Amino acid sequence: MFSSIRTQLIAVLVALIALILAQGFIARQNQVILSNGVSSAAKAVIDVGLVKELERDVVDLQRNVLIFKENASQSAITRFGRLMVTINAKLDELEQADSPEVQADDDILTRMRDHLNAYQENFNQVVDARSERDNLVASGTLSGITTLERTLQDALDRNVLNEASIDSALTLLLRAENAMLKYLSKPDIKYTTSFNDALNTFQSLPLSNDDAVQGRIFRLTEKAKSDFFKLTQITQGNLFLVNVVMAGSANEFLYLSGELANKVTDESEQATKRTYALAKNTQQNGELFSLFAILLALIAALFTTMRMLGPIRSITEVFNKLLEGVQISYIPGSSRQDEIGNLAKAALVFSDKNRQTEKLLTEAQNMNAQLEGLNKALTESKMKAEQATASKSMFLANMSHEIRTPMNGIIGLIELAQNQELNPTVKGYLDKAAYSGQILLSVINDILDFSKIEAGKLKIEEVSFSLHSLFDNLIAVIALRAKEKNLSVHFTVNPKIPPQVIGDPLRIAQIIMNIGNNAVKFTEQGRINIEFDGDVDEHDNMLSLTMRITDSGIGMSQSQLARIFNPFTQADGSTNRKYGGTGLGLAIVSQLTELMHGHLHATSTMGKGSMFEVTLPLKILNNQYGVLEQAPQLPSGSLYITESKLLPNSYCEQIKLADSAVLSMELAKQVASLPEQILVDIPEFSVFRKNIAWLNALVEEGKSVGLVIESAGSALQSKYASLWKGPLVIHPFTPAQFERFVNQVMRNDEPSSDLEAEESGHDVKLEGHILLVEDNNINQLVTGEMLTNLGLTFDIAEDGKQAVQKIENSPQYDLILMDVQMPVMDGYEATISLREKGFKQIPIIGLSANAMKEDKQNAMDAGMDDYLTKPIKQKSLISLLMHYLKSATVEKQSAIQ
Amino acid sequence: MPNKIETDNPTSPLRRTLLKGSAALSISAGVAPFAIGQPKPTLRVLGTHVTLQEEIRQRAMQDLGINIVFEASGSASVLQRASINPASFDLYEQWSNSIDVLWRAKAIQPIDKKRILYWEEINNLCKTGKLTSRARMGAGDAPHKIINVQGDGTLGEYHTDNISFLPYVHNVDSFGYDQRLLPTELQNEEESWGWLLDSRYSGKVAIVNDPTIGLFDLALAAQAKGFVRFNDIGAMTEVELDDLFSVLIELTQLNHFSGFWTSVPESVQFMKSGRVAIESMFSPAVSALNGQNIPVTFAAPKEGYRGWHGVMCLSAACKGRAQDVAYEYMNWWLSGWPGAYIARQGYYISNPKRSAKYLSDAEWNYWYEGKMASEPLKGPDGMVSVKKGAQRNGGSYEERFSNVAVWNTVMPTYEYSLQKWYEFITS
Repeated sequence: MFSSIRTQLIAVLVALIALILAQGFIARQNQVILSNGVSSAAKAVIDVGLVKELERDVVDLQRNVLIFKENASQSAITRFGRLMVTINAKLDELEQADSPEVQADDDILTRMRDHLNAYQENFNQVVDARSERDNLVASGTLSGITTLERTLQDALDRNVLNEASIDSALTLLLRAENAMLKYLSKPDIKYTTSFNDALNTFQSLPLSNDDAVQGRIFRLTEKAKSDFFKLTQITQGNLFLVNVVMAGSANEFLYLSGELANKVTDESEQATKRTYALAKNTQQNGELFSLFAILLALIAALFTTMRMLGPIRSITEVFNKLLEGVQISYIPGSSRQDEIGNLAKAALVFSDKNRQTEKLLTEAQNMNAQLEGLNKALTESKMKAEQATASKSMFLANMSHEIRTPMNGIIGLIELAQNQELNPTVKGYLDKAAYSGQILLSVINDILDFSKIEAGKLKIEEVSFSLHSLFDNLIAVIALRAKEKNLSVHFTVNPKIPPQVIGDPLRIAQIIMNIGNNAVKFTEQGRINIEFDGDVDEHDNMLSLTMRITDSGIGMSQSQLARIFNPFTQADGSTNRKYGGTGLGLAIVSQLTELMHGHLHATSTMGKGSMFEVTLPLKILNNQYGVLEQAPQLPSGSLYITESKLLPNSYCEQIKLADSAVLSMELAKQVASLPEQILVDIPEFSVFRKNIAWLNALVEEGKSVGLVIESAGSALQSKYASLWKGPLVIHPFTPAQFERFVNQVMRNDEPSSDLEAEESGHDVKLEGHILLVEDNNINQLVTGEMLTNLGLTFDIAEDGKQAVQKIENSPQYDLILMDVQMPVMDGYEATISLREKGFKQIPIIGLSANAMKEDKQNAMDAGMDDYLTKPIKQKSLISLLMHYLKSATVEKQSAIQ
Repeated sequence: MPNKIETDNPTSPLRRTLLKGSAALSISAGVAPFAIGQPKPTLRVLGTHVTLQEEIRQRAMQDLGINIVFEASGSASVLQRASINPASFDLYEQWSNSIDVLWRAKAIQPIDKKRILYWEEINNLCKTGKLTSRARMGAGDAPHKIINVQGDGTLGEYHTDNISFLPYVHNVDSFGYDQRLLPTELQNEEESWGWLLDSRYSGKVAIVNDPTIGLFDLALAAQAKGFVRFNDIGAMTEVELDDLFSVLIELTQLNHFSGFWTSVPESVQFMKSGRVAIESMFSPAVSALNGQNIPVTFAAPKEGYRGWHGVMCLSAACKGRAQDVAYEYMNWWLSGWPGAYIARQGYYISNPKRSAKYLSDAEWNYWYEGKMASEPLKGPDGMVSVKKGAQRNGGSYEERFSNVAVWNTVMPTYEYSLQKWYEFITS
C-alpha cells in the first residue's frame, strides 16, 4: 500500500503538518513560559518592594519604641499601632501573593509574624509596665518617702521624736529619694543598693520612743522599699523587654525580611534564568524543529522530483514521442509498482495501440483512396446520368412544340377528312386514325409535361383565380367523357369554400382532370363522385383544398396502388393493354402535388373502386363568401320530393331545405295543398315520363317546380329540355349552376336558355379552321373541346408571336380566337401586328377574363372584331361563331347546290 | 542583683507555718489525693518550652488525675509576669537566674523540704554545689547558693527546712557546631568557646538572645580568645562589660553574628537552614538536629561549660488545695518518668537513679554514663536522635558537671548589661 505515490505524498504532508503543529505548540509554550516568567519577575519586584517597605516599617517601629521608652509619648503608641496594622497587612499581602517563591517561604513569613506578634505583645507589656512604673514613682516610692518625711515632721511637732537623730533621718530619706531619682534616670544596682542602705539605716535609727510612731515609720519604710523594688523590677523588666527581647525580635524580623527579599530576588532571578533557559531551550527546539521541517520539506521536494516529477517528465516525453509517432523501444519506470509504474504500463499499451492505429490508418488510407476513386466514378456517373436525364428532358421539352405542331396538323386533317363524304370503310379508318391521333396527342402531351417537370422547367404560378371557372372546366370535361359511358357523375362542393384563391389554376385543373379522366377511364358502370372540400385557416388566410374523386371502377390491389405514382407505370401490364395510356398521368399528378406542397392520398379496393384525394394549400383572399353561401334560401315549407336525395345535404342545408320537407313522390301527390316552391328528384327518365303530367299540373297551379335530374346521356338531356320548361339541374352541375337553378325556382330568374342553347348548339355544326391563340392549356383544352363539338378544326398558338408566325406561314384560317393576356406577345399586340401585316379580312375575336367595357374597347381599338369574356360559354361562342362562320349544313347545302 | 549568701535567722515565722502545712499534706501524699465528688483541681504552670512539654502535661494529668494548664512563653516575659502577678500561676518553671528576682519580689513562697518525697535522693549539685569531690565550682549563681531559704528570709548556702525552688532539670550548655562546616584549621584543635568569635566563622554565628545566658557564652569566648580578662566572670564589672561589648559591637558591625535566637526551635532552624555553622545551643536542639541527620556536635569546650539549673517555684499566692496539687506535681516530677523523658533530650534530673529504671541500659549508659551508644537511641519524638556508636561529648553526667565554668547568672551589673546588650545586638 505504501508503494502508492499518493500514500507516500500524504505521509510526507502529514509529517510536515505535524511538524508545523508541533512548532506552533512549542512557540505557544515558549510564549506562555516567557509571559509567566515576565509576570513572576514583575511579581517578584512587587514582593521585594513590599519586603523593603516591611523593613522600613519595622525600623520605624523600633524608633517609636525608643521614643516611647524615652518619654512615654502617647503618639508613639498610636504610631506603633498603625505601623503594626500596616505591617500585618503587608504580611497578609505577601502571604496571599500567589508567587511560588514567597509561598515557599511560608516558614519565614510565619516566623516574621511570630516575631511581630511577640513584639506587639512585648510592647504592650512595656507600655503597661511603664504606666505602672510612673504610678509607682508618683504614688508609690516617692509619695512613700514624702509620707515618711511628713510623719517625721508630725512626730517632731508632737515631740515624740528623738531630736538627735532627726537630722540624720531626714538626710537618709533625702539620700534614698536621691538614689531613687538617680535610678529612674539610669537604672543601676548601686542606686538600688544606695536606696536600700539609706532606708535600712533610716529604719535602724531610734527615731522615737513611741512604739506607735516607730512602728508606723517602720511600716512606711518597708512599703517604700517594696515599692522601690517593684520599680526596679519593672524597670529591669522593661529594659529586658525593650533591649533584649524586642530588639532581638526586630533584629530577627529584619533579618528574615532581608532573607525574604533575597530569596524572592534570588528566586525571581532564578525563575527569570529558568524562563530564559526554557525559552532558549524551546527556541532551540523550535529551530531544531524548523530545521527538521525544512529538511523534511527538502526531502519531500527531492522525493517528489526524484520519485515523481522526473519519472513523470520522462513518461510525458515518452507520451509526447508516442504522440509524434516516434517508436519507443524502452519505457522508464515500467518496473515500478506505483502510479508511475501504472503510467509506464499505460504508455506501453499506448505504444502498442499506436502501432496498431498506424497500421489501421494505413489500411484506412488505402481504403479511402479506393473509396475516393469509387466516389469520383460514382459522381461522374451520376453527373453523366443527370446530364443525360436533363438533356433527355430538355430534348423532350424542346421536342414538345415540334411534335405537337405536326400532330395538330395530322389530327386536323383527319378531322377534315372525316367531314368528307366517304365510303364507310374509309370513314371507319379515319375514325380510328382520329381516335389514335387523339390518344397520341394526349400521350405526347403527358410525356412533354412530365419531361418539363423532370427537367425542372415547370414553374408553379401564383395567380388569383376563381374556383368557379375550375369547376366549369372540370364538369365540362369530365361530364363529357362520362356521358359517353353513361356514368353517373355527382359533383359536390363544400358551400363554404371561398371561390377566389391564389395558386396555379392550370396545374390544379390538370391534377383533378387527370384523376377524373382516370376515374372515367377505369369505371365501366356506376358512379363517380367528385368532391371539393376545404378548411379555411382565417388566421393565415390559407385554404386547405381537398379534392376527392371516388369511383366504382375496377380498383387496385395494394401492390398496384403502391406503384401507380411511379412514371411509366400502370397498375399492371394488362391495364395498359386494356385501357391504354402512357401511365404518366398519376406520376404527373403526384409530382405536381408535390410541387404545390400538397398531399396525395389514394385508397382502392380491388373490383370495387378507388378513391383519390389531393389536398393542396392555397392562399385565399380576405372576406369572401363561400361558393354557395350567397345562394338564395327557399321559403320555409318548401317541399323536396324525392325517394333518395340527389342533392347533397350540404346544398339542402344551404337553401334551408329541412329534412322534414322531404316527401316521396307518392305521398306528395296525396298532399292537398303543396307549397309554392317544390324541388323534385328525377333519378331516371321513366320517373320523369310517368310524372310529367302531375308536374306540369303543378306548374299550371302556379307552383314553382324545380327538377333535380340524375346524370344522363346527351339524348336524354335533350328530351328533358324539350319536355320540361321549368328549372332543372342535371348531374353533374357546378355550384354556380345550382345557385342559378335555385334562383329560377325562386322565380328570381327566368329559366336560362343555357341548356337550351347548349342543347340546340349540340346540333349546330359549323365549318372552318380556327386558330386558337391561348397560352393557357386548360383553356386550350376546353375551348378546343367546344370547337371540336361544333365541328370546327383549330390550331393552337401559345402566344401572339406564334399566332402571327402561323398566320404568315399558312393564312388558311377562317377565324382567330385571340386571348388578350399572353406571354411573349399579348393579344392586342398580335392583332395590331396582324392587321398591320395586311390580314385585315380575317375575323379576330378577343378572349379575356376582364369583362370591363374598357377592355372590350381596347380590343376593338386593336383591330379585333369581337370580344368574349372568359369563361367562355358555349352559347356565346356558338352565336359569335355562327355570326362569322358558315353553318356546315348551309355550307353543305351550298356545296350541294 | 546580689548573689551573696546570707546565713542568719534560720527560724523565721514563715518557715514555721510552712512546716505545719507540709506535715499536714504529707499524710495524704501517696494515697488517692482527692476525695470523690470534688471537682477536678486545675494546676496552672507558668514557664518556658524547655519543660512545658505536651507529653509531660498529658502524662502528669493521667498520673495525677488533675487538670494542668501550661502557659509557656519567653523567659523574660515569664519572669516579668511571675514577679508582678503571683496570683496568675501556681507553679513557675524556669532557670535559676529567675530566683533572685522572684524571691525578692516575694512572688514565690518557700517550699517545704519535708513535703518533697524524694528530697533525700536529690544529688549534691544543689546541696553542696559539687557533684563530685573533684568538681570545679562554677562561677556565678551556682544553684546551691540560692536554694536555701535562710533565716533572715534571704537565700543562701546554709541548709534549712525550706528551699526557694525544687531542684529538677539541669544541664551544662555550650555551643553546637556543624561538623561539616568546621574550618579545617580548627579540626585538630580542642573545642573552645573562642570558636564563637573565630573570624573563620564570621557571619555564621548565632547567640542566644538573653544577657543572663548569651553574655556568658560571649564572655567565655572573648576570654578564650584573649580579647578580655574578667576578675570574676560570674560578676563582671561595668568596665569589664564595656571592654567586652566594645569587642562584640565591633564584631557585630563586621557582621560576624548572623542572628540571636530566642527559642530552641529557632536555634534548630538557624542551624538547619545553614544560616549558622556555630551557635549557642541547648541540648534538645542538638538532639533534634541529630535526629534530622544534621551532624551537629554539642561542644565540650576546654574552658568548661556554662551550667544552668532549672527551678520549680511555688507561687506565693498558691494556698490550700492548689498548693497540695502543686506539691503533687513537684513530687511527680521527681518520680522517675519525667526525668527519663527529659534525659532523652539531654537534660539531667536531680535524682537520676529514680529515672534510671525508666531508661534502657543503653540510654542510661549513653546519657548519664557518657558511654558509646550500644544501639540507636530515640528522642522523645520517637525519631532516632543518637546513632549507634555515638558518644556524648564531654563524657558522663559527673564529668560534665565537674567542668562548669560559669552558671547562668543575674549579675549586679544586670541593668547595665541590658543596656550594653541592646547596643550590641542593634549595632
